[in-house]
Amino acid sequence: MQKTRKTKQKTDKNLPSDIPAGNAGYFRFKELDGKYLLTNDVGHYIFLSRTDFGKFVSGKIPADSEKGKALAENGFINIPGEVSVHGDKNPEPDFMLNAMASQWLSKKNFLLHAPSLHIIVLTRRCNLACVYCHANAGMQGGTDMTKATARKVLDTIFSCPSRGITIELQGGEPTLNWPVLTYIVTEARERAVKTGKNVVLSLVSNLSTLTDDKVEFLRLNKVSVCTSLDGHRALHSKNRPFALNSEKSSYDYAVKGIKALRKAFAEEKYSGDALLTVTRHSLGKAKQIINDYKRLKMESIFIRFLNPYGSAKEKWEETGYSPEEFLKFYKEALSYIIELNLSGEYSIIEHTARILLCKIFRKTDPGYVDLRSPCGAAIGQIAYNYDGSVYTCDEGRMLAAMGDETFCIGKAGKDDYNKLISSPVAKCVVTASLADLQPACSSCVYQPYCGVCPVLNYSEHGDLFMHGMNYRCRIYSGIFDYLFTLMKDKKILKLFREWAVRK
Amino acid sequence: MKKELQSFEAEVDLSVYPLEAVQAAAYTFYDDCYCKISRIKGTEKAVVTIKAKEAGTELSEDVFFNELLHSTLRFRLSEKNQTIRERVVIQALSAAAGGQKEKTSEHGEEADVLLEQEIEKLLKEAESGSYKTDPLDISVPWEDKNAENKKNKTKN
Repeated sequence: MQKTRKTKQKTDKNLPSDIPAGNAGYFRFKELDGKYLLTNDVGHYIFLSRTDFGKFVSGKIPADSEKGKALAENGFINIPGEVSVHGDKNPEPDFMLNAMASQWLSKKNFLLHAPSLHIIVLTRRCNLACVYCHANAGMQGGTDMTKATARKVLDTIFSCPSRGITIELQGGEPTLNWPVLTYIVTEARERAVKTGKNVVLSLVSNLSTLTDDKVEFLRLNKVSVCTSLDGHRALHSKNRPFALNSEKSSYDYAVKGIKALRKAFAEEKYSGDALLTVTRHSLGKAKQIINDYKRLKMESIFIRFLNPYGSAKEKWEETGYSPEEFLKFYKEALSYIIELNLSGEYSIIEHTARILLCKIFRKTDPGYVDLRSPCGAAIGQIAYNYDGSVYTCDEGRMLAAMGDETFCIGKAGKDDYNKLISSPVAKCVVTASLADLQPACSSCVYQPYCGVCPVLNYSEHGDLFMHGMNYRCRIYSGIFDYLFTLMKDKKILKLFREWAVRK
Repeated sequence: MKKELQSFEAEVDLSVYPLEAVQAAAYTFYDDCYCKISRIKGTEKAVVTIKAKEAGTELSEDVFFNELLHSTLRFRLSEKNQTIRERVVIQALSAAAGGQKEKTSEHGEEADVLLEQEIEKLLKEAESGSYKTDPLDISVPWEDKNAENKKNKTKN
């Protein structure tokens, strides 16, 4: 990151009618849809016409003009004693710098916390054979976590200094190891009481093995459930077929499970959180998929792209697509979602957009570990494999499923928490995920809202650092472009602001 | 027939690319090639020799120069942002390790309270619909605004 340039103090008396170029703080810019979009390190943004942009950079924008004031309000220029960040007038020469520093810290509040997301892989076994599975799951035995290992994993998790802890139970299909799942949930709840930690439990499941008893257990222990819903019956079942029975439809089980959970969690107003993983089979079917969500009265959708690593890389030709193909799908889906929301016909929120909008509009980071600088690996999340091996993140654990242990930071029970966190791997990943050090990110207008993934970089280039604009970068840049373009419409801007403040 | 091993020699201007970047770029060929870097005496130049270890390894001088540009930028950014990088990494790792336990929780609570307050406020605004949806008139094209100003001036 480059510091905002300190400027020579000027008093009100000799305030120039034009703002000298030297008073401009550090900013990044991009020409977008006929205008110039400018952002700064604290995440403020402004659009300027080509003429105004020219005036701004050559120091000829009038200080008392609307744009001059807006630029000052958002910290793009410093006029001590006249206008300061967000309207607070203050004669201190360094007021703007201090205000910006304070805002920067709010945006980076995650730097003050220990890892809060702990992902436990209960088993690699899975009864589905999803075409995009990163984890190389299957029906092979010998990959269930034992109670002894689970205890060691919980020891590690509860020695983490974070007061708020989210334990995400994953797989394979985690419910296939139900005895250990119930052990972890019960034990975590007991330990939460003993330690005073605030523990949130969540389960990622395909819902195919849910029974009334299991749903009741999840309800009693306040375990939230997230599942995948890839669209209508044929598409979902094609993406997520049963491993051993091609006659059964995984869609039917997912829908049945969502309905059962909705009933059980009625007090929590659970409508069913679902992920939509886009595959090549989904392209061109955006409207159809959203309509299926609408039919099932889902209140949210999380549109996610495939990442070319782990075992997904091997099936790329069958399931993958280019960033441009994904963006075409995403735009179709989001524009339809917006249309439905604005018409009042159906209210549904899209989570990828919501996360990016939170980053744009909110003063604090929304806590999405995949998209920040430095990334959440080791400092925001930790992943525990079924055998107790510990990884910087879930992506690193997925790579290990393919036999590459680069992102392993130790083993639960053998290495204590501090040893895990201070491992050289953790240090390398944190350093390598600083966006300010990536040539492609350093001058990118979206850098204040974005982040890199060292695991993906490593998978693509054999290097933790990003080389050029990679696959993930091209997708996120495209989504940011689209969101900022849409924001020019006042109605959409209002909707986006509402999404950004949703919990 | 025995295939010839591919190789190339690239002359690098060290006033444009730092030696550290030249070394880093050459290193990316390390797995498949033998690499040698030599200074040209009396000049600010170096010669990089890259030679394939096995037949069939495709080599391109263009790929080397792209790697060199990447390494140069990485090196420059790393130098330029050294202070902030060190501070952020130390802060992140020390908070993760609980080295600032009390400070962490205090600041964490503060940040959480701030976040809650902000969400409350924004939710109220969103519900009442009274907030300025576009306080900076970002969505109004500059030309339109200018046109209004011009109109006013003309009227006056």
